[in-house]
Amino acid sequence: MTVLSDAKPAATPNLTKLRVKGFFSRVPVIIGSVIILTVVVFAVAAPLIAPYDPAKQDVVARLQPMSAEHWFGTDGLGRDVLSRLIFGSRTSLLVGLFSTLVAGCFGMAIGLIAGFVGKWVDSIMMRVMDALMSIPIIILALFLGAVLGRGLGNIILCLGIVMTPSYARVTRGQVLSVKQLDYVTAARVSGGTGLKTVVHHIFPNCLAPNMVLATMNLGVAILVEAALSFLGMGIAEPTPSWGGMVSQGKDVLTTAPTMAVAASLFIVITVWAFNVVGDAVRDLLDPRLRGAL
Amino acid sequence: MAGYVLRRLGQSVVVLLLVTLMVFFTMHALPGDPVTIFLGTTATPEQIAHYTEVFGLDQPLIVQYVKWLAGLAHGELGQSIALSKPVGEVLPGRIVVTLSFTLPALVLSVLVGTTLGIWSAMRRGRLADSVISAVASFGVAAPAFVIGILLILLLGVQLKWLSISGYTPITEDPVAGIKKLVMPVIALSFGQVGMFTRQTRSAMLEVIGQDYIRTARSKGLKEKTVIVAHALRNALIPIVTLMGMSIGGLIGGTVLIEQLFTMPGVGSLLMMSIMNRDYMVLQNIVFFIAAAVLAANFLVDILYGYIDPRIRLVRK
Repeated sequence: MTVLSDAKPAATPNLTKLRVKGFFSRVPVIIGSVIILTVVVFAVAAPLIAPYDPAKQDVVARLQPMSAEHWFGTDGLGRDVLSRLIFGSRTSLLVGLFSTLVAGCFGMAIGLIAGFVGKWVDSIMMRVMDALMSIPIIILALFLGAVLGRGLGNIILCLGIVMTPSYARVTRGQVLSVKQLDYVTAARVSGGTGLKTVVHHIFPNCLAPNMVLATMNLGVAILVEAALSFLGMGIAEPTPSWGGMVSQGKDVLTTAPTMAVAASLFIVITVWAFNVVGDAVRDLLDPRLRGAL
Repeated sequence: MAGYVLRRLGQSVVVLLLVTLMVFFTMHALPGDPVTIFLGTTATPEQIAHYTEVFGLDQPLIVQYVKWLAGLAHGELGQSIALSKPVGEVLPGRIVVTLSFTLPALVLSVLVGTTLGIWSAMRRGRLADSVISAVASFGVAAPAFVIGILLILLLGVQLKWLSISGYTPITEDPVAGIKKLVMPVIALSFGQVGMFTRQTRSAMLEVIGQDYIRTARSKGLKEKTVIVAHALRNALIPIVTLMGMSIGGLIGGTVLIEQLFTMPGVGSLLMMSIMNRDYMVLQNIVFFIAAAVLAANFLVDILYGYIDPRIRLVRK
């Protein structure tokens, strides 16, 4: 009779734990994650954190320098710069997240149709994507922004359209490789409709690379929104936006440089954090894409 | 190879035609009437109707589109409503201004970026590598207007070395002209230098681990020869790809730079034509920008074959 040993089998390493440990093993990723967390907290709890109402004007206290009362001074209308920066994080995050979501939805839909249907549908759709990609992102955003208008929803839609082609390309590439696989052929042979095959068998395989792209594109979306606001074509006043604050600060650079510098640093640090964490997410989810996206 | 070039050229023409379609019809969806903006609020309906006819805006959109394309084919770019001049007269001077800081910025980005990338890869894990990588990653995150603001503050306001805005043609006053280009060139190229540094470093690191590099070193070649003739040549494909992609980024950046430094280039003309709904100027600028980006990508595709003969063989 075989006697089973009481000894416990060697513990298998927990893959998720190892991945998380690996993800946070680099110092820049830790710093980036802390920055993103801080910006998220700023955006969510802005009314609780901001020392003043960001729209409250005080013409007596115009263009104040840094002080204990106003850490980053005041702007040309006497509004507290720090409070406007904290509320500005809402604009940046909202635009970043939702425009990425819009681009992901549009791009994946186009990529799925183009890749799965193929032939002339594919050719037309991808040439349109090529045409969109041939216009530099800021110029296309300026152009569409002028057509759509300056509201938050319009800016999100505008940036969503501008970023769509990269998702469409990644999804189409993924569809073309997946649709050759045996299990997809089997699904079709067993009577599955085209739509069912796409939704149940091809779409799930397109999610990972698009998620990687989305993480990496968040920083781009924040940058383009800041650039549009800087040019006066982004979020309209009095809603605070970092790019708009740099633009206002530019006009008073000699007398009150704090606003432009502080808003500039907020943009750079936040975009840097999203870039660093985006790179780490890419390495975590699909190391093969390193350098490809 | 000739077949491949022709096919790529054909694709580019199709894409460019799609750009003209998208730009033309989207532009006419812009709210606001260019003639009313041009004449002002005091204009009578008769004046508006007269000038609408003069500028051909009373014709059906499809007729206006075909006329524009026919004009493009003959080098006729139409009439600017806001400037009351032919677009063909306005654009060349603006292009010169834009190129005067865009070209130096491109050259600077490629030279400094690839040099730093190689240097950083050769010192992997050391302090120099860490510092360069950190600065490069901040450069990628910093938009041109942010770098421009910081430069104005430091070199213009604090140190008073350079004037903070304006443009002087180099042909008029070379010293003043160059001094006014310093900040725009640095601001525009800063992010691109970061991108080239990161791309070159990563491409070099992939290559210098290969067996043929070890072989080159073991046969006694000088380190400089190993790096330039063997490693860099094989790392060139991603660098050249980035060169093609950076053209779009640089052109996009010019709008920001020209607004910040008040320079009379294509970028500021583009902004002005959006504000004035100056259709002819706007559609021609976007068309030429798209054409420049497509031409850059086309050249990069052709260059691939010369850098790596294996690509040429596959295309055959």
